[in-house]
Amino acid sequence: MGRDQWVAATECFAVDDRGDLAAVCRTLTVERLISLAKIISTHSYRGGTGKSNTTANLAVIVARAGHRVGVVDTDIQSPGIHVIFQLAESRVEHALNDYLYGKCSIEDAAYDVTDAAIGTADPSAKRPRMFLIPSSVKVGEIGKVLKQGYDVGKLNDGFQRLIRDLELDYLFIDTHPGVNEETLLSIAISDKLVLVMRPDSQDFQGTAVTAELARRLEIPEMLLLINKVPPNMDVVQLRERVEKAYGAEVVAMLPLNFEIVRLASSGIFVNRFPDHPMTLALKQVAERVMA
Amino acid sequence: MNDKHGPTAADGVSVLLLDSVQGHPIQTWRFTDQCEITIGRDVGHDIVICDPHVSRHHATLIAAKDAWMLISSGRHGTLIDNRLVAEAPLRTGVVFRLGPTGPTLRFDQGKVIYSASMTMDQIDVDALAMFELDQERSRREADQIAEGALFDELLQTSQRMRSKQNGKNGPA
Repeated sequence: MGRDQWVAATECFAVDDRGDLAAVCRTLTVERLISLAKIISTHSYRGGTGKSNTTANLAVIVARAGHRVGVVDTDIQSPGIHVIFQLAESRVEHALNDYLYGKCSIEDAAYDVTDAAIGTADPSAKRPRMFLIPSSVKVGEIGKVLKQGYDVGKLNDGFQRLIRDLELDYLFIDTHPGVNEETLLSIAISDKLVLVMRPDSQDFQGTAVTAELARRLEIPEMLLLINKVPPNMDVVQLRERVEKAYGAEVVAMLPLNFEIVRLASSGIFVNRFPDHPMTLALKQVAERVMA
Repeated sequence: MNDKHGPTAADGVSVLLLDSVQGHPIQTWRFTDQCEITIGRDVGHDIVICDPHVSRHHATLIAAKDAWMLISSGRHGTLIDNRLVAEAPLRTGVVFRLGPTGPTLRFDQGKVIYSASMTMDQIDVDALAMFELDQERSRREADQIAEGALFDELLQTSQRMRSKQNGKNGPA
C-alpha cells in the first residue's frame, strides 16, 4: 500500500472508528511519524563521486545526533554501501531485491547496524538507531533487475513502510548514478536532495541536467557537495562557477582524501577520524540536512 | 644541488597516486624541467600528501646523472616491492609506497598521453576554464527526460505528498 493510500485508509479508520480512542491515537501517531520523517536522497550523475561514502557518513552523523535513521541502497546495479557499514553478506538473508520481487516484506530486508555505525548503543534505547536495507550482491539477482526491471511504485511503498514500521526520523536513499525512473522517484519524494559531484567537466554538465530535473520536480531543497577536489585547485572560483551555473548552494567542498581511499569503503570515516577537517565539513552538511 | 640539465628531466616525469584497492591513478603530478621532486605532508613540498602515514618530509626524487633516484628520508620509510629502501633507482613504472600502510605512488617518465576520460585529478589543476556549462544543452536534455506521462505522474505524486506534509506541519 502506498503512502497516500495508507494515509487515506487510516483517515477513514479514524473517522469510522466507534469509540476506540486508543486506536485513533495510534493511527494519528503513525500518520504523524510519516509526515514528520525526512527523506534525503543522495545522487550523483556518474559513479565514483564518493556518493555512498557521503551517504553513509551523513547518516551516521544524523543518527549520532539522536535519531532513528534508515539507509536504503537503491543502487541495485552496483551495490556497495553495506561494505561501509560492515554488514557481512552472510548476514543478509533478505535484500531490497527480495522485497521488490515480493519474496519478503521490506522490514525483513532491514538490518540494525547501530553497533557498526555508532558503536555500542544501549539496546533498550529507542534512539539513536541505524538501519540498513542493502541491495543484493548476488550476480544473479543483479542480472535479474537489469533484465526484468521492477515496479518502481513498490519502492515508494517500501520507503513509506520503513518510515512507519521502523519509526524513522530520517530515511537516506543512496541512489544509482545517472537518471532513470528510480532516481527520479527518489528525487520526487525527497525533502532534500544532496547532489554529489566531482570537479570534472563531464560531471559539471551531467549534474546540471539532474539539478534541472530536480527543480522541475519541485524538490524543496537541493544541496550541492563537490567531492574529491584536488589540491591546489582554485576552490573559490570553482564554488562560484558551480553555484552560478546551478543556481543552488554548494554546502561543502571536500578534498581528495587519502584516508578515505585507504578505508576503501570498509568503515565509517567520521568515526575513524572524528577531528579531521573532512569530518567537520560533513558535520556542517549534516546540520543542513537536519535543519 | 643537482644537475639542472640531467638527461632524464627533459621529457618530464609524472608521479601518480594510485587507488589503494584497484590500483588505478586517482591523482597525477606532472613535472618538466625539474631535477628534484620532494614528497611529504608539509605544505611546500612538490607533492603534498596529507596522510598520517606520510612523514612531514618523506622522500625526494632526484634526477641523477644516469637515472632518477628515490631517496627516502621519512621515519615511516619507503617501500618498493614490499621492501624498505633508503635509496633506489627509479625506472618508469616503478611503484613505491610511503610507509608500510601508506599511499602508493607510481613513477612515470616521458611524455604523457592524455585519454579522453581523464578527470580533473589527472589534468592541469588550473584548467577551470573547462567548467563552462552549456545551459541550452542541459535544458534540452532535461526536456527530453521530462516529456511523457511518467514525469507528470512523479510530479503529481510529489506535489500531493508535500501538500499533505505541509498541511500536517503547518499551524493548527
